[in-house]
Amino acid sequence: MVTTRSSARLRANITSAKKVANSEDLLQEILLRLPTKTLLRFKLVSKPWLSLISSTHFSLAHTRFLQNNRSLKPHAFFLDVLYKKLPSKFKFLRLNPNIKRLPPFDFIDAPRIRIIQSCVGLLLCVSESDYGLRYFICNPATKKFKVISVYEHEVIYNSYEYVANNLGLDPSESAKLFMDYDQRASVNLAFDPTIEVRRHAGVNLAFDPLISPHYKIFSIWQQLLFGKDPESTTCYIFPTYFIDIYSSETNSWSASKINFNSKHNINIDRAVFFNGAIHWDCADTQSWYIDVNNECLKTMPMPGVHSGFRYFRESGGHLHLVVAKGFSQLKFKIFEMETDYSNWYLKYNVHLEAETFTVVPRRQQNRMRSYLLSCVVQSDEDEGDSILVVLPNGFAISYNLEDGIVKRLRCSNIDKDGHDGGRFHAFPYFETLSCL
Amino acid sequence: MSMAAVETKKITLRTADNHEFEVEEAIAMEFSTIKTFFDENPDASEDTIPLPNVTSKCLSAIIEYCKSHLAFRARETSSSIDEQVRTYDEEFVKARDNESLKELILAANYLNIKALLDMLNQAVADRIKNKSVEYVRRFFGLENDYTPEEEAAIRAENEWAFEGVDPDDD
Repeated sequence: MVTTRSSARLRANITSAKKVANSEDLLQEILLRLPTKTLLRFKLVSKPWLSLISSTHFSLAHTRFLQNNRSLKPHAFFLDVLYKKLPSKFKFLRLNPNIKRLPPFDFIDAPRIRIIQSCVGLLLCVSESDYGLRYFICNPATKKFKVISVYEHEVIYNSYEYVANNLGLDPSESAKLFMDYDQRASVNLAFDPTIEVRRHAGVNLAFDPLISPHYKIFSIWQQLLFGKDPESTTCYIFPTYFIDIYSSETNSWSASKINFNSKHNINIDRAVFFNGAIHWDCADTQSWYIDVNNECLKTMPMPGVHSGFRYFRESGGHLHLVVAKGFSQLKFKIFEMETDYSNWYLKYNVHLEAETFTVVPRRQQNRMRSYLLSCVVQSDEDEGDSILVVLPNGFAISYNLEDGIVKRLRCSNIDKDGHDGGRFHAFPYFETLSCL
Repeated sequence: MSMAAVETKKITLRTADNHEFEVEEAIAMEFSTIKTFFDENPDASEDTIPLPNVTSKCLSAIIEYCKSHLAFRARETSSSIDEQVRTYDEEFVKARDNESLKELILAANYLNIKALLDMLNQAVADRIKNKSVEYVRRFFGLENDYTPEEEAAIRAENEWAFEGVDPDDD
């Protein structure tokens, strides 16, 4: 077909721009490559752009693109202070000096909020009011949130004094022995242990858009069963657990999907989700993790270190346990877990007094009664392993564990937000369009 | 099929503005659209392929790109080669204005050259990522279809995202 020069020129001029913009496929390929913050701004370009950027299929594609390109790095760590009421600003430790502004914390009306967990752009939070605890998940960048209605079981509470008396034991003289419920046949019990306590132990979130656009919520309940040895004054306590699971795919709960028992004190509140599993910290030699897809429980070894200052987190595909000696000594043991869950090894042993004082002015050093407020181990492909330490007065440093370089980091002043013995946990903030 | 030829096989392409380009088969095979066409029509290799959606300006740039990248791939991979590829891509994009970039995207999309298309999409994304909403509308020739109230509401909701925007330079 022969075309005249002028009509060919006309065809080329039907602005390529309009053609690119009108082809949603081509436009999407460009938008996928933009940072989240830019996309939030470009919602204003036109209504079709608002529709595309807000759509669930685009948010999923965009988040996966970031994950696949390894461009999903946290901008900051949110510190788990108590947000007495909203609107407020997040208290954070800034990682990326180019990021000047974080989203405000202003889109929900709930009192006394704490952040419990962070999963690829979604935060799991709890709000405490006179009516009890309410859990919700949210994406601070898009301001979307969803309240979680935990499946309610009957709460039972009896104090030890009450139970001991009922068992015919003097509460001040009887010995308490925690045991695995599975081992009850190995001791002499007067009768089958009875449930005297049932309480809600915590809520965990599992969300990884690379695996699935749907998330799961795990609601963990603890029961304490009490039994007595007829020939002594020992009171046996058998802690058992059951877990209800919510799936956003079916929008429904499965009650008591997982049951297990353990005499150890498991830190359910500090769950770490990665590698398709929810991991819990435990001060003993063994802990547990939930295989989210198969909804079953597995055990994993733990270093068996006891310390009040424990930071249990994942970075760079490995679980890390940071154990600090105490408030005023910046001494850390950093354990790393093998990827096959076979064992932990002591990766670093550091003492950071001198390094931190390079950023704290001399006149302030004497006034720092308690140095360590929070710490995080961060593994980066390019930079290697670093430990980030939060000190009083808004000071914070990153210490590169491989080359020893110290950098000052911007951090919110959390001195007045004290709680839980003055320690704070840190949750990575990933800026994504993740949908709830 | 035909006996092994002594010289490399050439394919002829005709652009929208009626220019003919003779390219080596290896380069034409980088265009998935053309490769698929030959896979389905093995006897058509003698014919001239019409490309009504591609101008000669675009096609010559694309041929240059594919030639250079084929040459890079023929050499052993190393970090210095990666560096050279990066530099080549940067130069390829740097001198072109917004309109040519968009034309190239359409052509690369039509010819289905994934690597080039990804590179060009990234280049456009990099160009616009810190720009204002008004700049982006002009860039794509889009109308503002919001009422002032609607616009104000969306802007207020995402106010924190409006920091650090470059001044318009178009």
